Amino acid sequence: MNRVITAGIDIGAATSKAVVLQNSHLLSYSIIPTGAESVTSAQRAMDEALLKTDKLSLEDIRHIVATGYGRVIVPFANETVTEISCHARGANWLFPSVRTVLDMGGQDCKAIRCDEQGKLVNFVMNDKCAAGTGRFLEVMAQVIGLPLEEIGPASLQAKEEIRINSTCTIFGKSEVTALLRQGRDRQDILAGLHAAIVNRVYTLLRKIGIEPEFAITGGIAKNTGVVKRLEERIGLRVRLPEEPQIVGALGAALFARDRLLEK
Amino acid sequence: MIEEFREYRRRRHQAAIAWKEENKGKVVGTLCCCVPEEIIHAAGMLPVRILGEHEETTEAALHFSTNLCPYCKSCFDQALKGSYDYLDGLVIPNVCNMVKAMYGFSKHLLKIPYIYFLEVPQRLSGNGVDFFSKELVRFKESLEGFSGKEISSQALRYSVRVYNENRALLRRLYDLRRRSPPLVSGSEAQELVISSMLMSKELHNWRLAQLLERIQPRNDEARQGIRLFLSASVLDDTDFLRLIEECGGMVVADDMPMGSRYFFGAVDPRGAPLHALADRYLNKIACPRKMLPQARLTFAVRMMKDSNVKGVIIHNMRACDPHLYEYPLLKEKLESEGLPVLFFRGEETETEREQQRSDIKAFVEMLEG
Amino acid sequence: MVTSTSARKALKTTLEVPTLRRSYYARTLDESQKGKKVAWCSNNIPSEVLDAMDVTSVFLENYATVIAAKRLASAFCAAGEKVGFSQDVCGYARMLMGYILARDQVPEAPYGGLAKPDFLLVNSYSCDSRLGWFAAMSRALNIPLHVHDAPHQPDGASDSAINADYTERELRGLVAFLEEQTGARFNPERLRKRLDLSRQTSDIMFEINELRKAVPCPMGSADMFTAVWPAMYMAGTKECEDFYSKLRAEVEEKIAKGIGVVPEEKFRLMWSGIPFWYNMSLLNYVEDFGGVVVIEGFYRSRERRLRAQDDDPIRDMALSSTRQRGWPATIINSIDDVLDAVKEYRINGVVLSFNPSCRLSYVSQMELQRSLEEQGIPTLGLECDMADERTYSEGQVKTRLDAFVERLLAKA
Repeated sequence: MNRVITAGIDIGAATSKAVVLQNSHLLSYSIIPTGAESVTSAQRAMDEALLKTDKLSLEDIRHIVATGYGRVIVPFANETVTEISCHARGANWLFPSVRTVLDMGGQDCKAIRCDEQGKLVNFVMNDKCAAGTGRFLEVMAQVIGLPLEEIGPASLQAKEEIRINSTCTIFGKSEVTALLRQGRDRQDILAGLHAAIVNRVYTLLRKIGIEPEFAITGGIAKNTGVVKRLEERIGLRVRLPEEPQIVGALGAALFARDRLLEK
Repeated sequence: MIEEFREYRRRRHQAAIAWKEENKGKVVGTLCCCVPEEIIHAAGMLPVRILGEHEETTEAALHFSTNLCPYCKSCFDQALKGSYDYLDGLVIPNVCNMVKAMYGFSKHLLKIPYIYFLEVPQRLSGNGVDFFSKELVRFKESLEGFSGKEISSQALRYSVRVYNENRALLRRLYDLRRRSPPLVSGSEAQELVISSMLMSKELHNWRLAQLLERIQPRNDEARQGIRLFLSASVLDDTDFLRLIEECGGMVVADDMPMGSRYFFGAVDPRGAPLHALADRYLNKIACPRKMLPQARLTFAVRMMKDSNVKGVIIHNMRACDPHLYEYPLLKEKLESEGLPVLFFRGEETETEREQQRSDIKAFVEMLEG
Repeated sequence: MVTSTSARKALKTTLEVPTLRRSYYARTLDESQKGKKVAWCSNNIPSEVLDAMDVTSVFLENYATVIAAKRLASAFCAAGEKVGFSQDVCGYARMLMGYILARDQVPEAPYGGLAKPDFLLVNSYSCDSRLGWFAAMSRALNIPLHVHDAPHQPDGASDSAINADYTERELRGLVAFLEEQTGARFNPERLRKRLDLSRQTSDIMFEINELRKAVPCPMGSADMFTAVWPAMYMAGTKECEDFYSKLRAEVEEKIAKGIGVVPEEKFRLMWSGIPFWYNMSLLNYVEDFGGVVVIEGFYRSRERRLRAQDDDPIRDMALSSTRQRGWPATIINSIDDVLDAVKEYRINGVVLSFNPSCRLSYVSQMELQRSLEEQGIPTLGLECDMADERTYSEGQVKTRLDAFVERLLAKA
């Protein structure tokens, strides 16, 4: 049997992910905190993913593609591809009808368009302003005093959506602090915050146009508050990967396979 | 009584549409107070100052980046959202990079039938007035082409009189603010000035004259605030002036387009109307746009000192180059003359209200102490 | 953070520019010491007129790019901000205000600093923001400011006699101002000679730009952003004309031998907006992938200059500038301009730099990008200031460029 084993490594600022692919079958994956050193975290992520396989080792992997902001320093990678292309490829492989992908991590937010083969057609990024990224919600969760995983559902239980005026994370913090001091309801404040971030994201998506189907990847996919509001705004059901954080590494592993098949 | 003016501004779009129906006339928008509205008025059209809204510019965000004049961006956003669908014309003067760009953008993305670019020169005296007079002839002829009717000299003289009357009334209004305490608050004064930019001038003259007859000294504490001067770029956010009043301050005089710059300086009623208009609009509006570096600074400082104020608030829109370049040396001069300065950088949605409140409160306390 | 600075040049002649520039600045210092009047000027002030009257012209915007190229811009910008100039305003202006008002807080200025100015000259057309900047300098230095005005003419070239007449009066006003400042008399013949040379040089530049259409491209923006310098600041001199003649000859030779910037072109790009002066090597970045930045939007010489419109050189300048415009003044013209270039230069994608502090170029970029995508032209936006390198993030920029290359190669 011809086993083509490839791997993808996605080194992000917060987490590093590895995916092992056998032919078109997802064998295993890992997600670990990146920590201070990207090089060692790449190795650890790879090792952890391999451990979860049936006794595979690094030598068994025919081609490895690295992606993410730390892609250029993965010593055992054969080549690099940007996370933008990888998210498009990965999301499209999971849902072949997907043509628009939103990827929001802690540091940045990307709106991506792909074709029916998952090839990159266009993209636009927000990597300058924290207010349109996961960081915004992390900060606000802290101010509100709830764990990050709870703020989405809490925002959906609001009785009233409090309009948040600040367009900036720093001023948003003081605005939220003031609202809490006034005794406003946490859920209502969260509703406003989620509406604000969805506004930003929606504008970003409009810049490249939203073609169905639409998928969300990255940590934000787990936030029902954002997902639901975005669905309403766009008027489309959102395709959500079971494991949204590994889509980049998955795409990288697929590109690795593509490369081998080309040869 | 001021409520009616405030209400007109709030319902300005419906009011303009109603005017169109009643008068079977055209509405022509302007983006700066250096456009000689009298010529539009003489053509039987209604000149209106284009205003934005203080809301997120969701439509304009697709066409404009962030570090740009929030006022222009908001105006354009409103146009894209359909608020200005009734507009028949738009006159865009040569005043700054952003406003200049509005000319091309309007032609490219909006469906306004008549869009005119007004060549306002930098040269103020002699050759400048001469050129601007000729440009006003071209403008007049262009409007005649648009309306299909001639604009007579007589009509121009009449419009000049109507506008001069409005300026005189607004100057009287501003005189009432010089008293201690002022008879009209800063926010009230702005509502009256802005409504003038929106209403038919004859109507505004009539209503404002009535108002001025009836204004009496009032004893409410609201007008007791510490006397302040407001120097601003395009600031139409009257809530900001109300905020100052809430914090114990009172703007008694200003240097800003949505304020004194709109009406100070009359048009000379003698002589050829277009030439007189060219002269007034070039030479009588105090604005950093006028390239007289020393004179402008001296004038601004003197105006502030003459207003008997304790401090100066300077509010500049982000990315507003003419004002932002002037600020550092203006501030230095004011402080050397014993006038403390509080600076604000404006955004399109006034998001930092709480921060503004605490800054103004602290400023007022410092001035009182 | 920034790993490299200057662009790799494809042409030997381009390498002569730094020497020319250095000697230009040295000459201004020398002339100033010898008692010549020094004018600090904004771009597009007609240096031919100043040369004809023995006034030394120093162009500030270029000096700012030199500071940026030497990686000193952040310190100068920070100093300008410290004395009160907003981060919103032009990076060049902040740097120069820092230089003027906070000399003790900035590093040593390149080339021994700027010659001390006797007066300031700013023009109102093209970029409007400079007016405020020059007014601030006039106050700070307490020296006269002369504004050189002209009609904006957003719709482009005009036959208007009113516009030409006003422009002429402004030119004569400029001459009168210079006469007053120097005590010298204006000699029209000297100006005529310089205008003739200027026109010739322009023609050569235009021809070079036509030659750059060749496949493979013999000279790209990596060279031209440097090579455009003499025409901007030494117009009307024999030195300048010789430089461009040499440059043209070298480009012709490359074409004859079939030598391109990259031997096998996979894609051709256009650069819209101002490049990042502190990292010009970005213009070479795509070469490793078989790409080349063929042509630029800013500073581009688009057509042959009109022949002399009058015997009187001042009247000639007035008529020429109203009857022919050097750059697209509205978004509509900008879009058409890029669409033309895409066709003529066989462009596969456009990189647009969004320089937040350059209001003139920044205002159009988003709509320009949107309109190009609407026309099916792949684009990439890079948001970094042209001078203030604090706004630059190498990782972010390279990721975007890499993704853009992936996009272009996927399309091919």
